[in-house]
Amino acid sequence: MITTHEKLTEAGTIPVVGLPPDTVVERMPLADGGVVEVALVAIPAAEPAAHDAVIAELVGRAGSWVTAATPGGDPPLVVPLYGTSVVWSPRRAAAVGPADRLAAMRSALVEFADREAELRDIEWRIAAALEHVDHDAAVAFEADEQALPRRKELAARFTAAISLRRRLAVLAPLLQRPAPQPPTLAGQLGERLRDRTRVVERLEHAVEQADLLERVYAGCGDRVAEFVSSRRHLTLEWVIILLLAAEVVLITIDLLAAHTP
Amino acid sequence: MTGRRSATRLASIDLLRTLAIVLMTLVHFVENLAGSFDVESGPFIGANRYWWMPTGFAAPLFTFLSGVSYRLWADAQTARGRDTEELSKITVRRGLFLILFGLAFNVLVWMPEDIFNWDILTLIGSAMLALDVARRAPPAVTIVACGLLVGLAPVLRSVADYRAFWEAGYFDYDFTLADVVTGYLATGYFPVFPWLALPLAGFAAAPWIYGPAGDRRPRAPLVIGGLLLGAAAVVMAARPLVPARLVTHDRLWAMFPPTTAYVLGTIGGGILLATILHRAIDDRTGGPGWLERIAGAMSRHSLSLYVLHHVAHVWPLWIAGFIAAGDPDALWQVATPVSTALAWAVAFLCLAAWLAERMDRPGVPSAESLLRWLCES
Repeated sequence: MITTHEKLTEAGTIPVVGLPPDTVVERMPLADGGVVEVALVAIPAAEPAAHDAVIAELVGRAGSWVTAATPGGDPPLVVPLYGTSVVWSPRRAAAVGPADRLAAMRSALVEFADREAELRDIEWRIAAALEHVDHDAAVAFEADEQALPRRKELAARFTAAISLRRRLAVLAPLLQRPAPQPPTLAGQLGERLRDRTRVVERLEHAVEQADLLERVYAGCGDRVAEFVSSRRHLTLEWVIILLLAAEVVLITIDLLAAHTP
Repeated sequence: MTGRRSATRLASIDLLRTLAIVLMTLVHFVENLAGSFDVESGPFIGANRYWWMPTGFAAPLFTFLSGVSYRLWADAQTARGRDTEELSKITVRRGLFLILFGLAFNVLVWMPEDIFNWDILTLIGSAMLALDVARRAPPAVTIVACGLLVGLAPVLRSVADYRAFWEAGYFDYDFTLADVVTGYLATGYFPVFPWLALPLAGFAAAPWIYGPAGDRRPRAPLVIGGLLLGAAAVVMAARPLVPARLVTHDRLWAMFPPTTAYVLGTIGGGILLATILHRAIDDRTGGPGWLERIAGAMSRHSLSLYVLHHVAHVWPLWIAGFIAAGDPDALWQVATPVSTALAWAVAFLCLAAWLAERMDRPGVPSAESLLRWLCES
């Protein structure tokens, strides 16, 4: 019954290998610049004795399809819930369930994929930013002449840290929002996916790391500003010293000339 | 000057310093041996001929490059993590060494009574001490200091009565504290005002000249060099507006005393020349050619060659004068025709090129090895 099939979607031709012909595949852009493909696989009518086997086979096929997006990557997450199943990976997800429940499952998957992608993008950017911290931390303590040419670079990193902190501040309430009451399939599915992917813990770590970045680069900004300010004062003091020295030389020469026989 | 290119030797600087050595040798041999020879009938090669003017660039080029080289050296040492106090110690030792070496040179090569004539070695020694301060001060301070040095020089010369210190083209001072101090500051051969401006300008301009390579090269050094040359022209054009008591020389462009136009022009010319040569030569790939090899050796031993070129022509002049007429000064500027003096200068330069390469060998004594032994160990 299950054959190789290709289905046209809005975004183009997506091969849906091994899934039923009525499978709907949607593709949507994510916060990290990538896309996620969501397959909605309806469980066909079957004898009660074969029902579990059909579901197991569909979940297996969905798993293969999801895994094909990132060969060699982590195995996809399988979340069974009230006679439905979700196979999820960051780039592909499949909802396997009765046709009348697919819409609710889709909305839960789309919402979760969007937020998880946002968190993953933030994590990736934080990891990249943390690589510079050891080098830049010295400037957060004391800025010197060598730090001045890096002022723009440090300012850009501070801006990036603030931007990450803002994105986390926006994301946190969305990820920590309690499931709706009374429980719905979409709500429960979202809860399960959040638990299994540890997004709340990841969010806390990301917040701590973003705080660290913010502290370091705010310190860099303060130290560089202090250095620039003190250098301005120093320049002024030096100029005054030079002028005094010039006056001393002038007077000395004048006195020497006046008293030379 | 981070990631600066100072870690490796720059051929353009070697070539410029060698050019200064060549000009210096030509001017000293020709003027000291033949400056007044047959002056009644033949063309006089001396400071009053405009076609002889390029020889006036030797001393400014030397002093300008001393500031440039110091900046590149200090930046390279800092990039290697060398302690700033240690850099100061080396710099101050070098400065004091050059001052003492310069005084000894004045006694041994010229005459004991010329000990405080304030020649270029004592200037570069003083410049080392000033550069150590400039290294710690904000860049704007160095530029202000240059402005004060150049701007105050004519005033100081006027106050000190510059002309009274010079007799027939020579610095003639009394052995008094007043004359010695005034000579050091304003009236000697290379007084601090304004000559110190050249090494300080080289120090300030080095990051612009030897900044990042590639397409993003700043135009600043070319603009600044051009502006300084323009300023020199403006100063010359504005001469009629200068109060008469500030005018210490009849000529607009002169080395003794260094007119404002001369100082501004030579700083501007130095910046332009260094920038153009750096961009034309230092980015070339491939090993150094014979010219760059010789220039490198001569540049590395410029201090030794400075001393040797004087010894090579002044001592024979003293000895021959003393033997011939009982007066060491008897043959001063009248010893040979100009052509002979030129030939001697060229011969000395050939010998200097050969000798400089030999002095690169380990264990061969030179003024530079003495300086390193005393100042950097």
